Amino acid sequence: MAEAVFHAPKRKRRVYETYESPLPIPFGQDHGPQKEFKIFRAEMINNNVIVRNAEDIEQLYGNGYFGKGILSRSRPSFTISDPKVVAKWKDVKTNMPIITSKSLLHAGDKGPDHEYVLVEEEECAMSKREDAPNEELVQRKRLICRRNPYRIFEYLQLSLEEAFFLVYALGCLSIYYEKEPLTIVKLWKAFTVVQPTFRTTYMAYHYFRSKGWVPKVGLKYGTDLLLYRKGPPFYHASYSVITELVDDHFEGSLRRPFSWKSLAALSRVSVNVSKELMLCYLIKPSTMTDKEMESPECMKRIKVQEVILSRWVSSRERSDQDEL
Amino acid sequence: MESEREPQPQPAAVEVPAGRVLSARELFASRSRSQKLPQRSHGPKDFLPDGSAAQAERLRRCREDLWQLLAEQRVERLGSLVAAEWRPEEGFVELKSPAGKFWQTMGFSEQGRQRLHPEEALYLLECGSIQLFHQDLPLSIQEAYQLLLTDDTVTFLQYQSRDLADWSLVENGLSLPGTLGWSAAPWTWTGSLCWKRSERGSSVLFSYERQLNLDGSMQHLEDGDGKRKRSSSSPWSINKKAKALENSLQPESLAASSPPPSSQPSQCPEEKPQEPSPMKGPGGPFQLLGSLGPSPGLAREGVGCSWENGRAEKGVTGAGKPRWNFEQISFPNMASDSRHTLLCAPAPELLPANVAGRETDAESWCQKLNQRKEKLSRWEREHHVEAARFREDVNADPEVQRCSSWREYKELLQRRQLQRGQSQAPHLWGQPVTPLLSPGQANSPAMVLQHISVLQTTHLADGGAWLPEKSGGLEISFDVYQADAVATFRKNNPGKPYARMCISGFDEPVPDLCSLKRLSYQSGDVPLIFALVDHGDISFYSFRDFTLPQDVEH
Repeated sequence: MAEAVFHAPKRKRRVYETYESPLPIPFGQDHGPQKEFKIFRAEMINNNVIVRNAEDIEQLYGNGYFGKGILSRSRPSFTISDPKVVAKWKDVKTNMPIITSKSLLHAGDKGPDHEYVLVEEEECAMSKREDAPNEELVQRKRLICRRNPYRIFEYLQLSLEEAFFLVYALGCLSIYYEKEPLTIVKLWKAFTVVQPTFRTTYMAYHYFRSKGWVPKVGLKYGTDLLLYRKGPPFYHASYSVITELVDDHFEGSLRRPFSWKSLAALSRVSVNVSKELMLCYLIKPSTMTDKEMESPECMKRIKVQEVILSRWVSSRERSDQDEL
Repeated sequence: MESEREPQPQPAAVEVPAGRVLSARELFASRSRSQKLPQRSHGPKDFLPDGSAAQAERLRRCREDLWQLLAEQRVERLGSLVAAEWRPEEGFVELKSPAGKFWQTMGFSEQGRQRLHPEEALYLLECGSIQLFHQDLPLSIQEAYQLLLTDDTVTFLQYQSRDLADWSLVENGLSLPGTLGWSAAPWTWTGSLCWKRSERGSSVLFSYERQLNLDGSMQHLEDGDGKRKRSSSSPWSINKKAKALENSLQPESLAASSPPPSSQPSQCPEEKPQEPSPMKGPGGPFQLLGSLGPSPGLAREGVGCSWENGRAEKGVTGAGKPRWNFEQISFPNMASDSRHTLLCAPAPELLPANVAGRETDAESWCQKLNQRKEKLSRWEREHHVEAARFREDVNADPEVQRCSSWREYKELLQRRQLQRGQSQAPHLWGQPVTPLLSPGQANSPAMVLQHISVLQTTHLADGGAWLPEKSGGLEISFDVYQADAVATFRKNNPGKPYARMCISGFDEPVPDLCSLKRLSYQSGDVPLIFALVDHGDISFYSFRDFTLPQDVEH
């Protein structure tokens, strides 16, 4: 049977990030025998897996692109900085957010917080904490460090599949529920209760991660997963994946009932965003009992079949598709 | 085919009824027709009707162009038309005069005569290469469609798909410009492929031997869970009711406890069975409460337990030696799982002189306790639901169940505390299911990927031979050959097809994995295409086997 050809992923034109590491674990080849294997900490809040510690967030997102900031589009990057003011003071190398003095006035509660902000204020509003005095007495703006009037913290939210992968495959995350850490089997069962199709989606996620690709949620294009090479900042997603669980006779109740119409729609959308539509079938042997499925070890007996679906419409002008 | 009134004057304004031989003037008019294609679009696309006259005019102009095009008459030389006769009872068309160039890729020979399949004949008729007769009368295209396309021969869908695709007959050398419409003659093709109807029912020849694919031997499920003997309701399970009473009665029991125990040790090691049954209760702790009137039975239990607790605790801390062998004394279980509320009278010799014991049924008391239903707020209810998912029930823990006394439970907790301090993450590593990767194994990304790859990849070709034939399912209808392979294409030895095609209607179900595997097995190493017809619009779908390569170098 003629196989589909692998097309190299498309690089993004402008890349703003540097690539650190494929996974948030230390590799022996880099660090030598003394490795500090850190186990990150996450919590179950309202059936979601949330990471609150800022360092953990940095590590998890920066190495492997796990999760999504709850106030951001992807990388947790919420800041209260006023972008115009930041642009003005861009030579100042600081991590603190920069706001205008006006927004300081409109701040909400000034609770006991630890963060500081740099406020752009006019020089006439002098305070003891000013920087080196200025020769010119013209009205100049200065950055003054003040307490943060806002208390908005951004957390990292991990999808159930990402969280389970970090716990089960890498062993680098612990998930706590009300201060009690959860075991792998418990997580496997509990996540299935929260999301009934968890087992299917997790197995596909695990498969693609074990091939070194970065799967992210495919909600935008009506599919289950989007596969990125290296990570979203570097390449455009190459594949848009739909997963299905079938049994030994290659039949199963589909999570998404397919019709040619829906397939045509999915195909059209995928082609418009230049991704290839992939169907990922997870084949479960008929001898597998329900009890076996209660543990993630059942994955050892599951087989994966990938199928690329492509479409060509005759009435449209020939595009640069060279094969059917 | 009647032509419409055309706006341009002179050469084109000639109407000729169909089928008639043209006069010289008419012929000249048809030859000098403009060969230009109508413009496909007149400006940017309009998305919504806005009721304007300009839009209406644009639409009218587009439509008119198309109609003009469709209505053009086809003019052919009579002598170049091959005569053919339709034989309905035999299901083929027999050529009466020698075949033209199309014979290289179409038709078949039988008993010395040249014949065509019905769909081939229909196609050639539309192209203007043959003239089809039936009972000595020439057939119009409409009549030909009706007669030739029946369920026995080729269905209409199938005919459409091969007709309207980007296929052309190279031999005919036809490449008329024009747009595509299902009712019009086949016009534009930019690709070029030839057709050969596949022999249905015959096995497809493969050019290679299939490898036998043996499935990995079935792993037999190991029954690893030995049934652990659950000790029937432990006499040590302290329920809330008892605790409540115990707390209220504690001071009394402790206060008056000093004298009796010293006289009892000899009576204590009685062999009692472990199952919960009403006892001729041990004297010591209970005699205190014989005097408490209304709540004898339950109170006994409660205080009894607390007394033991107190003693047990003291035992642990080493303040005093336990006087009784509590492992062998069993107490009736008053909990809701198996109530034994019928308590018989204690032996009189065990009671002090002024105390009278009697038997009682504590059932009524059990029923009076905990009657008020706890009213949970909405938040609490939701919280309970969530907690039920993530919290482990302490009593479900087999290690906890194995503890037969409070002391053992405390010891278990201490052990666990120590463990937690020593090893990292006992909830991950101290469990039956542990993470796939242990910290020492992560040497390089490639090695990590190797450790976590537990799912096996499979291919469409695997296991296809064993799939049952499904009647009524999708079948391969055509083998498609590329036209530029015409040099090697011979009707009796066509060679390997470029693709094999299955036809499906838009309302039919999409092939599932089972059908895909079956069809791809039948197709062998030739790619499979599904052709879908939707009111004249054809789309081709292919489901191809794929294996995502592993990405390690970054």
